[in-house]
Amino acid sequence: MALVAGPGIGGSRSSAGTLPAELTLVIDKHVKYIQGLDSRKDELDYWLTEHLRLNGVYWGLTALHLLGHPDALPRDKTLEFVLACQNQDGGFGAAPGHDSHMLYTGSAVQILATIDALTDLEVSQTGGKERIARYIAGLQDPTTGTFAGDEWGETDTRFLYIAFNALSILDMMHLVNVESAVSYIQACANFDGGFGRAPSAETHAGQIFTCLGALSIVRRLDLVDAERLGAWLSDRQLSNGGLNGRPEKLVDVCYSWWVLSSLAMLGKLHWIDAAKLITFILSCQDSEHGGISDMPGDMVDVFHTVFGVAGLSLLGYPGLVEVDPVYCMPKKITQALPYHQA
Amino acid sequence: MSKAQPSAVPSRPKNKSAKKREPFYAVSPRWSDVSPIPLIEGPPGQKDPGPALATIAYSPRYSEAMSYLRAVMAVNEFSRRTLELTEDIIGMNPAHYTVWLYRVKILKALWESEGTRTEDGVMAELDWLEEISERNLKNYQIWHHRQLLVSLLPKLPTTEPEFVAHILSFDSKNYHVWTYRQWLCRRFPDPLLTTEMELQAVDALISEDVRNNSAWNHRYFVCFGADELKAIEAEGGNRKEILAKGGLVVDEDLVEREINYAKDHIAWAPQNPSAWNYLKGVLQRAAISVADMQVFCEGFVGGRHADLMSDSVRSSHALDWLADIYRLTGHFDSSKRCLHALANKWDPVRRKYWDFRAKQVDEEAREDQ
Repeated sequence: MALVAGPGIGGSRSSAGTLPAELTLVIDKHVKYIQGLDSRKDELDYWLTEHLRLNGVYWGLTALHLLGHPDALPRDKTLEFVLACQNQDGGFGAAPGHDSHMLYTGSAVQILATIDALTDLEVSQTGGKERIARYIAGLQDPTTGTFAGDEWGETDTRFLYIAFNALSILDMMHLVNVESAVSYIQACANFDGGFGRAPSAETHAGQIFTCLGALSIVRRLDLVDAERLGAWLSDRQLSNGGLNGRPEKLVDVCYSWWVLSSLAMLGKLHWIDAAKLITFILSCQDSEHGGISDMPGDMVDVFHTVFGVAGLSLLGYPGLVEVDPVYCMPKKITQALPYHQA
Repeated sequence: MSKAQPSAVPSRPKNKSAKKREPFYAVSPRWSDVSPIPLIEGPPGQKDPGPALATIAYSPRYSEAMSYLRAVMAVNEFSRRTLELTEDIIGMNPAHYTVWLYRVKILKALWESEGTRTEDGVMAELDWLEEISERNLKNYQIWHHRQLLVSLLPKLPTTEPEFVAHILSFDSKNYHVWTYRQWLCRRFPDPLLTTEMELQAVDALISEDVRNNSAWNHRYFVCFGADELKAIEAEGGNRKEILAKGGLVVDEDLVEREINYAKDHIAWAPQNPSAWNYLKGVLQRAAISVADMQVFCEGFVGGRHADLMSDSVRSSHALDWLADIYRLTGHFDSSKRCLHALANKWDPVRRKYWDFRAKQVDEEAREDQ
């Protein structure tokens, strides 16, 4: 899956007379765009983004599932690639030969669940799910409860969220200290009601998503002041309909996901103007070649494509598969997880 | 480090462009003993390098360097030439996290084998890092690398605050830099927090851009947050619990100074959410009711009886606060007037939120009767 930007430009339209109000999601073109990403290995950027490859597969695959084309990528090749990224320690690197990291291990688990390959894992390798889960659990800091990204100890609430996300998919939450992780998240709550990547770090919509996501997974959203946080989150919508991630920053399609999913978890999705946001996201798609960009006029990429599509799914845009705001995966798949049956 | 290398060493690749076609390592006598390992993208054990061959035709410099990296990492070679190799690759692609991790291992091994004092080694590496940091503001490996290095030092390098300020001059809201800056304050509270150093630095940034939310967040950290964190770490629990327990001493002079600071900056830019959020945070920390801010807030809407749909309103945040203040003091009609003005004139994009607030006021009014 190439992380190469472009060639399309968000906001380009094929028929000159189309009015913004009539913009619709060009599902087939987005599917073709994502399928085409893998044939771009002759571009230097393909190789310069190798350190993101496994994330890229997750983004592309998830977008395809939400667009209702789950079989648009060959399952066997996807599985083969994911397994080739796994290292001796049980974790996954961004690409074969890269060191294990939480970011890629999380993507690997999400991909495996999405293509229904968790059982293949048990058959194809020793240790199966538990080997991955032990790698993740080993990254929890026993004193603070948070998680590091790798053996080098960088901590971030992103890693904590990914740990909970992956471990709940693997049904291995018992391997970690949930209570201390939850206290750590609470320590990240700021004076403005939001959350940052570490205690005292500035409130950021992306980090709010990770903290709320982690709390949702362990059913502890009761710890959050939903009204205050919902007010901060809904204040992210600007008059052009788009959302930003922090006060006084630019709007960006990816916040259609981080802000919106957070509002959905709090049950406050209706506090923003959905119609205006839909128009904003659609104004960022290249309706000729497919793909969505961060804002109108910029180059499209797979990252903004998946989060734009996921945002539209949350807003109930017709023709899309329902997304789970906690996992950014098709809801049908997450609802069937053994962890959520308990 | 690499800048101090002996001159006998053959020159490092001059052209950093990853698009260059001429091989560098394959023709260098210093690397003749290494067999490069091409990328195999596929299942383990696959013999065919597959797409890697196609790549070589398009980006030989980068893929060549990567193939030598794979070879030296496979045998854990920690040497001068491998340090230069990491520099070469980082120059072309600083987001490649594995290279950074490998570089740290090499540095530590070299300091030991060459008898370099850790402090000297760190300072030389920081020197090298400076230029790369300027060119890659969004990269986060660079800041992690920096933190790892500085954590090895017993004292704050005098140049460090200057360097952070310099980088923020390119992007004053850079999340990595602010995170690093907080780490720096906690690692070296003396002198950063025991003197006025950080406070003055953050004041300068707010003066430059009063809407810099990152700077406001840092101000809270400098004035209150660092102490809160210490208490959280000492007692366990979280901020809310510790504040509720009254476990933190509230310095009244400090609170008054910060309330006035926020008010002054709100007066300067009444529609700036950062200063309002900060004021709310300080009030909460000091357990002061927002109702104490009634007169202050009314100043931004044209007074208690002003027409809230008219241009006498200079701040939607003031209306938001007044809606709360009037509700708390039992002036439900005034509260609803504020919310109505917000939903219909000043912030219609969030109409549903303001409607929700109005419903809450209705409920409270009913209970009050």
